[in-house]
Amino acid sequence: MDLKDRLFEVLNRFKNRVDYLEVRLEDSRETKIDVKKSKVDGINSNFIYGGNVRALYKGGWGFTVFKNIEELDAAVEKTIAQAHLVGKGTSNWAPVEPVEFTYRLNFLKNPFEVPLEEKVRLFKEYTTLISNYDPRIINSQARYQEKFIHTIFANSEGSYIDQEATDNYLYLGATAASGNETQTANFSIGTCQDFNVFYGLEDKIKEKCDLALKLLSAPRIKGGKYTVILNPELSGVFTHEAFGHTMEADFIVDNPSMCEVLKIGAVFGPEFLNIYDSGVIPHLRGSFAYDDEGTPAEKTYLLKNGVLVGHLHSRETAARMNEKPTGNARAMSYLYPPIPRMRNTAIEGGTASFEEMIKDVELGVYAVDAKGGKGGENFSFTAHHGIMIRNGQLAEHVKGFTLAGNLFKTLQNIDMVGNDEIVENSGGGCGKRDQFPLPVTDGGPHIRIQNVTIGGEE
Amino acid sequence: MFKILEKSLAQGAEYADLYYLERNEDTISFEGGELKTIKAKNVSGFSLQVKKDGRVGIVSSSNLNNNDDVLKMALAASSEGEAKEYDFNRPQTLNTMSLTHDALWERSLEEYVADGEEFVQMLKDYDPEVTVSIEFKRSRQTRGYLNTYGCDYISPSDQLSLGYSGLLVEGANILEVGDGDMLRGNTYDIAKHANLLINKLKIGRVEQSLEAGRMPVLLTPNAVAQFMYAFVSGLSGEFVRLGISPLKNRLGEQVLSEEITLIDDMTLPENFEACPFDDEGTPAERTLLYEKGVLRNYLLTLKAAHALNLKPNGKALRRGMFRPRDYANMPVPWYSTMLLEPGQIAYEDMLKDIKEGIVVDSAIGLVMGDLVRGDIDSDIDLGFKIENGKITGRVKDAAFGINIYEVFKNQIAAVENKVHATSNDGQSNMYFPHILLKDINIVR
Repeated sequence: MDLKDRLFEVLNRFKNRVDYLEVRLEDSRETKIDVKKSKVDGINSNFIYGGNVRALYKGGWGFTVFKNIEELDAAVEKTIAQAHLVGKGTSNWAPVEPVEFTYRLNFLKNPFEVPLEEKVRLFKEYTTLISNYDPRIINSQARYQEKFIHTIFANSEGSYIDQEATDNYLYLGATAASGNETQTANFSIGTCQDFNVFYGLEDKIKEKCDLALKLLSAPRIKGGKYTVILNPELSGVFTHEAFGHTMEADFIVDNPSMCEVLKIGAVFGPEFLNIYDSGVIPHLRGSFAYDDEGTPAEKTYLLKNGVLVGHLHSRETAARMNEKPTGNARAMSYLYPPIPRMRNTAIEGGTASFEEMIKDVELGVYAVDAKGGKGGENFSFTAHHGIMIRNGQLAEHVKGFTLAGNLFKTLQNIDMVGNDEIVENSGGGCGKRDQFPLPVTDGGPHIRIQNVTIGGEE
Repeated sequence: MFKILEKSLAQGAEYADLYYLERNEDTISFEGGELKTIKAKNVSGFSLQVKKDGRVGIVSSSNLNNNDDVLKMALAASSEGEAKEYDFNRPQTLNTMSLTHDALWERSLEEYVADGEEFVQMLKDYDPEVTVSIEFKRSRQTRGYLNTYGCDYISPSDQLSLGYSGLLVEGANILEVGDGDMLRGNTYDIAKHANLLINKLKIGRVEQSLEAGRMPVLLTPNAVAQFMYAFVSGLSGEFVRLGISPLKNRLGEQVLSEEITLIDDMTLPENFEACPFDDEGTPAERTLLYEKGVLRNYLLTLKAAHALNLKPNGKALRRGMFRPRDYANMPVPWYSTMLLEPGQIAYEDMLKDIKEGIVVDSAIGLVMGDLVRGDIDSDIDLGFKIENGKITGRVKDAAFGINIYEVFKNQIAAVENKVHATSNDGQSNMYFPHILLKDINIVR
């Protein structure tokens, strides 16, 4: 019996005992390469192999992770028993058309076919370039990940989805020091189809070395309220952390007051503000054909003309909120059940040019690139560095700082959206509950926000 | 598993070692006040390291049936791998530690469900509008370390974690508070935890205004735990080795206030990360990091210890920030159980003389500043106003930016005379007092 027949034989045998049943199998592999100061600091490969069963019965879930397919029958029995112990109400499960689908990767230059020695040579060369750039540079680092992901999904409704995916990125960082001061400047670049993106990064590397050196003597910004222009990378982090996580429906659905605050039709921003989360932008790390519940990916608008028009759903949250599933149910690996997660999230490009945004700002800060962020109603994220804006002109650089605020007030305070939307692959990933890092991207245009609180010294 | 090590030597490796982890786990989750999911995981995996011609290849797998592929790949990868300049651990007599607790597994899932229902009911009795979540997770983790020098260590450990939260939405005011517990057995008191959460909700739903400016800041043990990310970044032997840490070349120096004595201890059996050996097979130990503010030790892996010419102290853990301990991670310098020695003053006495100030219980952004430098820029997620010695309500939209080496040297007003169990990640037990900081700039 082939694998597909085997899965459907089991699903058909057990499906009448529950409201919904699914099996997900994974066979993935990844390699990480870490080079510091021209030396290999670690190379680590990993085979990821296993599966899970999930069952829904009267609103209750069972979920069992198993090591290999021989354990499937026992795992299904166990999962059904769990679901029966939990379920006492009604199952809410939005309909999705069953589908049979196969996706195979198609690379321009396949990272897995590039010899290890070639990768090591390239990354050593980059770190040597960084280390030799200036005597004040004390550390250089290249961190690379390549991952090949193969999942097979089958459910009791007849869907069978056999998908390949890949997730590859390179992070490069330069740390400069002088006296007690240290500053790191870095960038990352990702791809789902072409290893060639990792070549020819020398100019970008030199730019980052210059930046790290420049920031050594830059002052810290004085804490307070400022007019802030976020660059596309940082506007992406804001959109992802503050707004995107709040729109994940599992955060909303259990609380009636939250459903009321975040209901469709609520006005959250100025009428020129549009925000989307899309799973269908080709070759981005957050894109895929079907999510981990068999729902097709789509472009989901969350805010249109400042009005809330959508949430990010799994099939269960969609049914409970009487909306359509959006294809956001994602699991980081076979070890986890799918939960509502973002894909590629951004503010849609507007009309303002950078010059228009800056020209009437008397005192403000241009916040550039992100070190990280955390979301929710009260969000906080860190700009890598800033450039002060004085009398409509970019002035001196300042060291990294944290922008914090209340999501709802801040969205209302966005007064300009740039015409230069960029959404591209970088490194890293998103964390939620215990699932980290999930491949996503974020981006957008430059945006201008009034009255942003910046933590800092007096 | 010995076979793969023997095969490694047979196929030309000079040395090989293996780290093994098996985890059996049951999780019972209530969401939105209702029992939602029961999960079971039975997973295992290993990481093989081989050394050939002085270089290492490392490959891990969750598939115990593809040993030959793993070995082949590890040997092939070693040609480009890291050149190891130090030696690995030789067998030593380890302390025996009993970390299992069979009673944990004698309990039925239904009994956890009943406790969860009691917890939810207590919260609903307080206010039916509270959205309650609670999760019970029991697990047995078996860690093993073997190498071709003859190390053959195994340590099973039973754990029960409890995590819960309450969400209240009043207008556009969203209040989410939570807490948890980390135990060996089923010895939690569910009513005590419900009351703890109710008290946080009670005080949190009263909103207070606060003028920006310099004021005393009282850090709760939870907040101190969150500050630990910055402390351990500076103490990491890896960052010291690379020359990035501000603590480089400063052993023996008065770095922090005399009030600060910080210890990392893997040998205390009641704690989750307790184990007779670390993830590189180095024996566990109790390590004084700061003694009355004097820097005494770094957190060391074998690599960091070699580079710094120090004795390894058993701090190699296969984990990272937001990455739970797993066989597939590379060992990094990390803490296991952290303790701060208590000070002289009772909590009530710390509070009573504060005319106006703020209690910080939870802050966001604590992992986003330049942690190695000790810079923390943070938005206060859960903070309470202190007026005339009393906590009067929640303060929202307040933030601060500090450097821990400046603040924990010059700004400590008082350290509480007892410690409380806490954690910053649900994995490492921490025992910290309340700490009062003199004069911190709060912006709004």
